[in-house]
This record gives sequence, structure tokens and C-alpha cells, in this order.
Amino acid sequence: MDYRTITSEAERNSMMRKANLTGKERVLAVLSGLEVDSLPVLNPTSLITFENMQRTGCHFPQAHLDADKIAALAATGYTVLGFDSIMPYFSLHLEAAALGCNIDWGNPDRLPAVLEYPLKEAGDFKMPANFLDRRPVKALLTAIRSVKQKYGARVAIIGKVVGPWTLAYHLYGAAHFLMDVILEPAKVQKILHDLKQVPVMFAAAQIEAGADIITWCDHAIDHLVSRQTYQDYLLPIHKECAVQLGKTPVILHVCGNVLDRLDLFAQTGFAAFHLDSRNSIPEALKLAGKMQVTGNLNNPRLLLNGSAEDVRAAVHSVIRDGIQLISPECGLPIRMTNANLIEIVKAARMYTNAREAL
Amino acid sequence: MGEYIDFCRRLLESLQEVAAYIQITDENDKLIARTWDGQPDKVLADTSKSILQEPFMVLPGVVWHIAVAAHDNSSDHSTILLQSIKAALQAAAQYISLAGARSREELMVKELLSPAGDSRHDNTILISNLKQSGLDVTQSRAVILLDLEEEVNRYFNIHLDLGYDASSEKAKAETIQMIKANRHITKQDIVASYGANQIVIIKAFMEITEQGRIYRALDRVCETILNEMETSKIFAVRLAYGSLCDDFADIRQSYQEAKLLIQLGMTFLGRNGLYKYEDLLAEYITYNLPDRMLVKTLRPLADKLKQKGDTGDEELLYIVETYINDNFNLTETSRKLYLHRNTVAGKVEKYKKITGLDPGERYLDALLTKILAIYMRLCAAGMK
Repeated sequence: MDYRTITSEAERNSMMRKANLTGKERVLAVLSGLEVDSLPVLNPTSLITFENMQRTGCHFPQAHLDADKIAALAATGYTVLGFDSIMPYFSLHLEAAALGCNIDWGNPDRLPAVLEYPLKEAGDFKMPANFLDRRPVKALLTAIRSVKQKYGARVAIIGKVVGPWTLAYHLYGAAHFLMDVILEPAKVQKILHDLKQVPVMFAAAQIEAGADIITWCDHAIDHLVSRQTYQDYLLPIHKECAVQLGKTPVILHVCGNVLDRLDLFAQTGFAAFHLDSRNSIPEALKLAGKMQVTGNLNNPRLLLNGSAEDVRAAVHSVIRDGIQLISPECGLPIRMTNANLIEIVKAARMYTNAREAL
Repeated sequence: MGEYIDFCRRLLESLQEVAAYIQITDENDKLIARTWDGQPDKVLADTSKSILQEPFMVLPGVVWHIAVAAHDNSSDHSTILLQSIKAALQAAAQYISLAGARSREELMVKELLSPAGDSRHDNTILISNLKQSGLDVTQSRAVILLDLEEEVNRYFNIHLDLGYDASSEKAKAETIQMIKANRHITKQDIVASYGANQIVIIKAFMEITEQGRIYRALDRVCETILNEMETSKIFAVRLAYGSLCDDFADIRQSYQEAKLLIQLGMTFLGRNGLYKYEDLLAEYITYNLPDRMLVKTLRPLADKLKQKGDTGDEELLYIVETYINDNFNLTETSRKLYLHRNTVAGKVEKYKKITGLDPGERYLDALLTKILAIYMRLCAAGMK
């Protein structure tokens, strides 16, 4: 039954709370603004731990480019950790690699990095006709099809794209691109206009391959970019891309303190925002309006170094503060143990059980 | 943090009559405050008591805990109490953080601009504080200095005090907020009031190979700030920036350069606005000439002009300087100064006789004359 066809919101919420939903249904319901029987736990960004690499025998860097390894490793988010989602894109570099960046793919402990920036002038970018067939892109699409087939009925499959701003950092170099923002606004407009087709095309392909949700990473972070710059350059593009991606929920991910611009993110039309732990949840919720907010569980202090009790208390605290979609704040440090991640899921379920008991 | 700890203690003191045990601990489980005296651990170890505990964020990444146990063991009472205290503590954390933000930046700027010999200037502590504030200490930075002068209201040629002095601090604070909201200012930049009438911006840039682009970007940043300030009409503004530096220890040098450009701009350009280095190149070089050049060459030349110049040293030098600026065109100089062409030619001859310099024939003599003219104006302005 499609709960969205029931017109009364109260009736819909009541049915959703009573229903015995799958993890996937819970995630999608909350993203649609509905209340659910049990709060879902998801990962808009990478959930890969060294422990799970050992468990599956799929290690970085091969697991960035080999579809079978990507799928096997991503699946541990559900099969081992119990999250309600699977997200098979573990870095930020697949598009950049497919567009000609020379990438150091790192090692099991280190994530990839761009070694050289291939573009300089605004007109230098040309969208390759075979973009979707290039190895890094094709590997992810194949991996999404694979996890969708095996787990797609139970968990939400989350795809991920790098937005034009972050892509410009990779292709032009962050320092040069940010200098262009000051000196050559027309060049920046042209670059963003050209690059926006990359995430839209890649997201559409991931949706076609089976992604239920797309995470959109665009690092308009406050240490590099002012609110005004986001508003002038990127907000119109985000609005346009949100329309182009249609009904598929998009989770916007921007690291750092975003309270000075979260009201602008709320205007994009994206369904949710992935929040760093440096932000106050009540403030964020006020600014986000109808946009859902997820995240805020601190990675280094809480999930890497905290105890199970700390994790439990933090999960219960974010729920009490109003978070409906439980998730870590950002891509995980690889050496994090599985125990604290499993504890997030347990704590969310425990909270639900306690609520039901009342 | 001390202010916040005081708040926690005062809050729990005021709640001592409430029928509950309340305790606040920091991120290391160290006790910050509690509502009861004596046998503290016995209360928390009492298994018959229903204790609610919850974390709350004091600063980004710093989480403390509140524990509440109602005397009547009612979880409803404990929950209401706990949530109310948490709300108060979070609001206070935010308030103190906001109030502290301005003074923190001011302190940071004060530290960075204090002379190297100053006892306060401990680089290690300073760098550690900057890192704790989230600043990337590896980025290059330059000081943009704003010298503010309140626009004075004059009606009927008399100075009316309309009470603007009282609100000047507020206006300055609003100006700082306006600068922070500028499209080119990010959280890596420090913006703070410095002294009575200055605002300092320590602007950060990621490293690029073409440093010239950074200086052009600094021009653009200054121009946008100036545009916004000119529309506000609160202050007349003079702006300049110093050199880019890779080390926070050199920030003071960048500030000194910007300050000097403002002093030179006020003396030589006769306008407010942005003073660029290239607009004041000759003046900047002259100001920074080594002492030996002053005592051996410039002062003796100035003395000669003072002793022998019957029309006054400044006037003679001004005519010759204009003649140099006009590319040694007597007609153009005479037109500009409303003098007969022969008068200008006579003055140039006189200058040659007095100083021994022939600016029309020798490039170095022309350069020295130009420097001499600037030096004399620096002396008249009390800068030399």
C-alpha cells in the first residue's frame, strides 16, 4: 500500500506508526515527512571500517573501483552493522577520476586524493560522451544494481554524487577556484553551469540502477565560502538540480558549521540535510523548516573514542532534540570499530521500544 | 569556560530547594556542580533512585552531562526538570559563546599585533589558541586595515553634537558585522576592532603559485568592503593592506605596512578610500630609505634649498617636481602652474645652481629630486 495516497496527514501518520515497516520504508517515510513506528538509522556518507574490510576481504583502494568489492563492502552497513541503508560510494573522487583527474587512490587506511588538477580555463571542460561507461562510474552503477537486487526490498539504497562546487575543487584546484570566485565571477558561473550536468546525469543513472535516495555533496563550507557566495552562485544551481532529480529524495551534505546558511539550504528543494556535530540541532531544525535533518553524531570524539554508554546517550539526545533520521555526522574514520556503530542502531531501537512501552 | 562554569554553579545553587538531586559533570566526568552537600556518591549509587542522565553540548565537540534524580522517584518530574535545565544550559552556552566571540577575536588581534618583545607574545600558545578557534594556521594571510573617521554633522557652519558619539561603538560593531557578512569574508578570516578607530581584517588565502592573483584579490576584497561602507555613510573610511605572510608571527609586519600606507595616503593622496601600494610607490620607497641616504644626501640638499631659496624651498622644489612629472615639458608645466614659460625655465636653472642636480639632463638627478620633494613633504607632515 502506498501510504502517500492517503490524504489526511494524521491518518497517514497513525497508519505508519502502527505498520510493521521495513528499514527502507522507514527511511523513505521519514524523508517524506511522515512519522514511523521505529526511527531509522542510515548513512548518507561512507560507513566503511577497516574491521569490515577484514571481514569481507575487500580493501581500499581496490574497493573504490571493483564493482563486486564495492557491493560486498557496502553491504556490511546492513548485514553487519544493521543500518537501514546501504551506501556504496566511499570517497568523493569517482566523477573526478572519470573526468580525467590523476588520483592517488590511497590504501586501506587512507582515502583517495587528487594529485593534479587537469583544467584551468572555463571552456576547458567537455562532458565526455561515454561518462557513464568510464570505469569508476560504471563500477559504482554495477555495485548499486547488485546491492539493490540482494537487499533493495529491505533497506534504502543510497547513491551519492559530488556537486559542481566540489567537482570544481577537484578539476580546477580549490585554491585556484576560490580565487576565481573573487577575481573572475563570470568564469565561476560558466564552470558551475558546465559542471552541474555531471551530478545530475550521474544521479539519474544511479536512480535508474536502483538508488532510492541520493546524497549530494557540495562543500560550500563556511571556512572557504561565505553565505553570500553560496546564495549567489550555488543556490540557483541546487534549486535547478533538485527539480531535475524529480521525486527521488536528495540529502545535501555540507561539512562544518552551517547555521549561517542552513535557511538557504532549506530553499533548495532537497529533501534532507546531513548535519555535522558542530551544529546545534534545535537551531538547525528551526532553520531547516520542512527539510529533514539527519546526522550530528560526532565521529572522532563519540564514535571513535566514546563508550557504548556515550553512544547510547548521544543517540537518545539527538532524538529528543528532534532528529528523526539517525546517522553519523560524516564519512567515518576507517579505524573506527564496528561496536559503536552497532550501538547506534541498538540505541535507536531501544528508544523506540521505550517510547512504545510508555 | 570559567564564565560558563560559574553559570552552572549559580544555576544549581538556585535549585537547591527543588526536590531533586541534580548534578553536572564535564567531558571527563569531573564534577562541575551539584545541588546537595555530603555523601555525594551515596546518592548516585543508590539503586532505588531512578536517575536520568543526558548529554548536552557546551561547545562544538565538547559534551557534558546532567544527571537528575527526583526525591519522589517520579520519572516525569525528573524528565521535566532535566529538559528544563538542559534548555537553560544550552541557551547560556550559546549566549556566552556569542558574547565571547567578539572579544575573543579582539583579543586574538591584540595578541597578533603586539610587538615581538611584548611579554604577552608567546607564539606557541598563540598558535594553539588560533588552532582551537578553528583557524588553519598553514594558510597565508594579509592584514587589511580600516581607519575610520566618523562623518561629522555640520549645519550652518557650526558643529552640532547630535549624540552620534554615544552610538559610535554600536556603529562600529555593526560595521564589523557588515564586513563579516561580506561575500569574500569566510570563517578563516579574523575581523575585529583594534584601538579606538581601526578595524583589522586578517584575510586568509589558500596557497597558489601566482601570488600576484592574491594581491589582485585583496584589491577586489577591499573594493567590495569600501563600496558597502560608503553606502552606510556612518564612517569616512581609509583602507590599505599589507604584505601576505605565511607565518602568524609576521602578521604585525603586514599590519605595520598597511598602517604606513594609510598615513602616506592621508598625506599625499588627499582623499579617503583604498590606498594601494602602487599609488604610493615613490612615497613608500622614500619613507623606507635607509638613514645613511637621509643624512648623506637628502638632508644636505634640503638644507641648501632652505639657505638659498629666496622664494621658499617648497615652492621652488614644487615647480621642479611638476616639471619632472610633466615629462620635462616647460610649456605644460607653465600652463599647469599659471607661470610664464621663461619663469619655469628660470626656476629650473636656479634649482640646478643651488643643488647641483640637473633633472632635465640626468635620470638619477630627476629621481633624486622627486625623492627630495617627497622627503620634504614627509618632514612637513611630521613623518620624518
